Amino acid sequence: MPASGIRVRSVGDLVADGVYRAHSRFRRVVNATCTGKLVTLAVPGVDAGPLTIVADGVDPRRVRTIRIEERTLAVDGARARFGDDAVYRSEFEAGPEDLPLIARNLSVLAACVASRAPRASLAFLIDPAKLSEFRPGFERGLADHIGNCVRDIRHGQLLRGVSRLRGAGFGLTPSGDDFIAGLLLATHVIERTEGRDLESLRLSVLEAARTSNLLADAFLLLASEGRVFESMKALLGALSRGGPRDVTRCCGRLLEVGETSGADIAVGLLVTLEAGLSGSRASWPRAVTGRSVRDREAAWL
Amino acid sequence: MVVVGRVRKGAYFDSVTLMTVARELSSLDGVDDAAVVMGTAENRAILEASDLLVPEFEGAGDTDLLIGVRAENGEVAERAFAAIDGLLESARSRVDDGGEIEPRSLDGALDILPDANLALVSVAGRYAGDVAAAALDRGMHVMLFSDNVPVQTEIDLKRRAHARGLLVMGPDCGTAIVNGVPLGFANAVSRGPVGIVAAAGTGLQEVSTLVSNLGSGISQALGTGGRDVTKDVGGVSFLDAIEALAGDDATEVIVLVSKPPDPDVRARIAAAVEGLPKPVVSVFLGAAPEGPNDVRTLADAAVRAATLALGRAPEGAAALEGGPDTETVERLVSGIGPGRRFVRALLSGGTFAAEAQVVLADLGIDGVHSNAPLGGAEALDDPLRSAGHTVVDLGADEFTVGRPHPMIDYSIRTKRIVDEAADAETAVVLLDVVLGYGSNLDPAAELAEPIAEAARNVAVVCSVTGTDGDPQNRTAVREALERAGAHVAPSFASAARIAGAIVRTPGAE
Repeated sequence: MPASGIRVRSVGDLVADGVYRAHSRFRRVVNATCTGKLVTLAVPGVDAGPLTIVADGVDPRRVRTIRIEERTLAVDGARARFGDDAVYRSEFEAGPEDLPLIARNLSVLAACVASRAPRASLAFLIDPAKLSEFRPGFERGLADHIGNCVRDIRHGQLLRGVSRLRGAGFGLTPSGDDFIAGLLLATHVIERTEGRDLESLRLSVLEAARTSNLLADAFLLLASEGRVFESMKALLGALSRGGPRDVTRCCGRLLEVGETSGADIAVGLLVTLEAGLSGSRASWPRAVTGRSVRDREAAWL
Repeated sequence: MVVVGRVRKGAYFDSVTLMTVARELSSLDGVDDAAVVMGTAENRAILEASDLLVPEFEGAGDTDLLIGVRAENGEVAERAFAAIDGLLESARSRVDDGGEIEPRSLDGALDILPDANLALVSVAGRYAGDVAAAALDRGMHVMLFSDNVPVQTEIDLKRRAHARGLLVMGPDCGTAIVNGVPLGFANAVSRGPVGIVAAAGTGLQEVSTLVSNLGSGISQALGTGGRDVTKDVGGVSFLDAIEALAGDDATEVIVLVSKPPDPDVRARIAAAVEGLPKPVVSVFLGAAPEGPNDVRTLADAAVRAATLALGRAPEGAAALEGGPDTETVERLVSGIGPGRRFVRALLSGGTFAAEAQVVLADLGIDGVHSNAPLGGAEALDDPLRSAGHTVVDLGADEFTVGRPHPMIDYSIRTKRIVDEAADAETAVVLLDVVLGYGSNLDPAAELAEPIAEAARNVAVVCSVTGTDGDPQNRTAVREALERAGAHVAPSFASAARIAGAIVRTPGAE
């Protein structure tokens, strides 16, 4: 990376000052840690997020040390200052909710995920035909396992399902964790829409999903606190206030997150909202998950 | 069967890389199944259910990488493990190619380039309208490379763009140069004061390269798509582009290129250029000139524009403007077998198909047939079979469905060159060779053999549209084609004139 020329585009509002060492590097992002704290340094094109710094002029594959101090970012010696205008606010806003509108928009989201989700994502939970993307053997075993966990969640065995879902999948942030993040975010939507307090439920889910993976745990903690990255923030806004075109556009952005992460989070969100938004069930399109949800199911909500 | 496992401590890979590697391991001879996953408790449980769990995995942590292989014997399993590093590296390099980030949506692209103000859309025609509309909604001009866009969609897009002060180039706009940046099938031309508006892609390329080769240069070259100047679309983009060049400080001379526009559209164009403080050169192929700077051929337009831009006649202008010299024609006629009397033009550029017909008509040659007839030409009954003098646009739909454009894929043309030469009535095979970004990178290599074979019995005359700055290098291509036996003219109009002169010369039959 160049000795100078870095420019900060956005800094998440939960990024804490500190000296971070590289933990895991990928082409577009480097995750770095500092005594239990996490920061993600990313190139433009990656979503802003609560713990993410997006900057020009960095090569994540070569970053070793990230120092954040008094509105200054230093990456292996190259420094750039940033102002308040660069700070990304990660809380999502939820105004008065229109349940029929949300139901219609969720149907659009489901159709978008089913048609555009990347190969081998959890979209098979919406469109069972996508199970064919998983090869017989381990891959199919993994898909069946995740399907069983989600069935538990749908049928009232929330914590059992979550505890078996965490850590299931390929990669450093497995698909199961992404699904749980979507689930946690959905509880915020349900809470704000129906005026119910789901905080203790979230804490239970968080506890059931705890692992020894710093990244996965931080990711789920943020979701439990209703802190979201940019494309999810836009999608949640579109679901409650936008039209089909807005939802489709925001879905497209969300599906760009990670390899399958965006799709997997969206599936967790969809499945949980279907189960949880009781007021909308009467008008719920079957396309959302391909099955109806009876009252005795998802009793945890 | 044996099951063998390995643990890699702290090895991080993304999910697609791991799945790809597992699939490649599974496809190795003798391997029944394989998994490459992070060592979470749940993944270990799934490994167990899949009969891929080994004792070595028991102590693994969430951030360790587990590799499990079930194979017909230990030797096969070891071979799989020996391949793992290479597979991981290869898979990661495919996912993580180390190159530029490729956004997967318009918004993703705008994240990377928030100040972008032009989107080049090249998706299937039925989706292109929505993508172009989304770009317009974000305040961007659009170059719509896609074809098969419904005309009503084109009209809607152009009206929406016009209302917002934006320009839609296309659909089916293959070429443009904006502020020196070549887009689509454009050429490496010099910067200069000549701005072009074209509803004809190869026409734009011919004029821009000739202007550049004459010592002047191009400020902007804006394509509109051929349908823009029809009655239905009404020339919306053509008129907007003229207005844009009129206000462009870098543009001192404007050139308009098109097949004949609808009469109402042409009247609107005439009204738009009337009183402009910049000279306007027009070439509406096949239409009668109306103004002092209206010309008949693309080469004439280039010479006129370069002369206006330079304030003098450019070097090389005479070769472009004049007719063929007698000596050249007689030499080519002498190589033609007896009884041969027709021109067979096999062209990759639709504009050149029009220009060939204009030139042949100007030479008084009747009985021209074409799959894209213009003026007095007759439609070919079968585009695959020539009849009399024939001009074939190989970029027409009947030749391009399911295959690349003939500027890229020469296979149809190379075969037809030989077939035409074998026809006892063919006297001249007339070709265009279009260079530039996106075009076939080694046209001479593909054309040399069929040209050499054809040149035994017929005259092969061609032009090379391009510059020495193009990836193919115009001079190198010209020399290679001449070595193969072709006569290479300085412009396509010149080539067509030579072809016409050959068949009008007594003794050519």
